[in-house]
Amino acid sequence: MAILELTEACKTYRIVQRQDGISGALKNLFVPRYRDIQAVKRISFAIEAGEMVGFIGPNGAGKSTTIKLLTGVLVPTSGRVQVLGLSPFKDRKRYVGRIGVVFGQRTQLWWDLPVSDTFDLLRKIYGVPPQTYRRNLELFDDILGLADFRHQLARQLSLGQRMRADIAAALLHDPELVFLDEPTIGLDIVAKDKIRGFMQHINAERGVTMLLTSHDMQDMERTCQRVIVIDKGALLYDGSVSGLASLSGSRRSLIVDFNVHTRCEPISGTELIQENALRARFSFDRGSMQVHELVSQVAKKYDIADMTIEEPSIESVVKTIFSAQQARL
Amino acid sequence: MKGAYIEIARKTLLEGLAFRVNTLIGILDTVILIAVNVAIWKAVYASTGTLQTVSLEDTITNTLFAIGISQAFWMDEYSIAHKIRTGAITNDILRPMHFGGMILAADIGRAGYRLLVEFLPAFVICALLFGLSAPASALALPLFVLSMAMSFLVLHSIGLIMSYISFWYFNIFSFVTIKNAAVLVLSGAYIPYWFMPDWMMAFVRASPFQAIYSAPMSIWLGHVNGSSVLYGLAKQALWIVALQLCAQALWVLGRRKLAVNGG
Ligand SMILES: Nc1ncnc2c1ncn2[C@@H]1O[C@H](COP(=O)(O)OP(=O)(O)OP(=O)(O)O)[C@@H](O)[C@H]1O
Ligand SMILES: [Mg+2]
Repeated sequence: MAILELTEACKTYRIVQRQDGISGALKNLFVPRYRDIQAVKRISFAIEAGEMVGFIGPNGAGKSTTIKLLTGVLVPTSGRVQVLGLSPFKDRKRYVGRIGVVFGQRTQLWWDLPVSDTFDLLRKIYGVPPQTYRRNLELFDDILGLADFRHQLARQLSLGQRMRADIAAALLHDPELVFLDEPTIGLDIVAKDKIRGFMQHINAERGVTMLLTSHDMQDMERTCQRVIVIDKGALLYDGSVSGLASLSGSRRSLIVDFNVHTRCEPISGTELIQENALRARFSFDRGSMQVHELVSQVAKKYDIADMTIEEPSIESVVKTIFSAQQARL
Repeated sequence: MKGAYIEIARKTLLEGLAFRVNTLIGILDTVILIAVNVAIWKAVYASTGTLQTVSLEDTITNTLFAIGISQAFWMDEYSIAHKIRTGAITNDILRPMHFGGMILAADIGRAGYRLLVEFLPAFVICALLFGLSAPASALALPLFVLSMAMSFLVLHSIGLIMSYISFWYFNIFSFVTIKNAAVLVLSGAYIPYWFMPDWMMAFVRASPFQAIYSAPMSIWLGHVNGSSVLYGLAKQALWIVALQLCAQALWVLGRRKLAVNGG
């Protein structure tokens, strides 16, 4: 049964169009001109209990807006939002007690309090029973390593620590459904991995339903079974991660950095798409070329400082899906 | 749930205690403010003498209480306005709590801290220096405390309304400044109501300002008796209800506006 349903949801922001100069400012005062921004255009999807869904799209696609509709911060201009059998905006107090929300760009921790005090306050706000609270704290210490900085003030935390504390704060009251808007933004690989592991654990062990946005394709591949792609406010794709990967093509790039100036020879099955004295970029098809084969070939031939495999970015994935759809029409 | 509001009040109170230097400055500030005003009233009484209907001692008592406590009953409109402007209010919207209740809890915590740590010492110092009239009767004391608590709620409600204006106007500075000036002049702290000209009194009686310091002070000084005490308290209560209803309406409209225009 779907616990979250978005039906033909639209969100149009209305902003005052600024006019330049003094005469413009006067005009603004008396006859303001408005401009409408359609951030979300007739989006529909449903999420079942226990799912872990990724929500991706380029900057300005409307992801955060959709999350705000789902959490009841915003009301849809038209269409319907129904989550946990409630209307998030209208039933705010009843609804928000049952969900957890993380906005990666903005902390929900009390800035001047130690993290532990924020947790204590949240425990009272949500009426978390003592044994649940203790059990959760132990889990957070285990997986997120909160114990190291639990007694520091929120404003004294590093970005990665703050994010971990924020995620813990959103899960303290055992919410049924959790929204995470860019929970890995600005984090290094180690921190990202910790957070991914934690989200997977919570989803798998506790059956908590999750919707998360990210600009990192790896977040999706590592944690989600299903992804929803939007661009310019419209739904582009809703399906499995592997389906998305096949749609987005299997071409990858291998970037090779040399220790000495090197001229590369072509390697069969790859295309040399960029070359200068110290760096070369090979494009290859993951389907027909094994990565480790290619790597060992290159490593045998040249004096190599470093190699990286480049995954397609969300932007390029969206571009491919978009042109594939255009072609079908 | 109820524990959460108490906890917020407690946290705000403790936050205040963390800044010791501020505390000392706060005490000094209040003492100086009271001393200056007492000096002014002494000068006024010296030049007009027995013309006054209310004794110098009562006027000084009014100054000690009303000005001292007005330093403690200072609402923080700007931090809510800041939250609304920056969108940080999203965090509060996502809590299963009544927003006005959260602000009330924080205001109580702050006022509690200032009363205990700043007003009380300043009051004792000033009472020793300048003297004080005793409460009009044994019953006047608890009624005074009750009435002062309602004064706090009136100020809190007005502050809430001011903060909510920022849903529509980014800069509430001018609104708050006008409000603060009005409270200063009309609440009975700096100008006791027995010094107000009749036309001004007529206006004050019809405004929520009378429900601020005039109400508790007239109980302490025995300027009202019997049923008019109850009448004064009832009037305060009515103002609180009216202002709270107004604030709640602004909150509902404001949140709607935020939700429609973009959070
Ligand atoms: N409060 C607002 N008022 C007006 N327009 C807004 C507001 N918030 C967002 N927008 C506009 O709505 C569109 C969608 O924004 P949104 O923040 O939902 O995108 P996003 O997918 O979260 O992007 P990002 O990946 O950069 O976070 C953008 O064009 C943005 O400029
Ligand atoms: Mg966003």
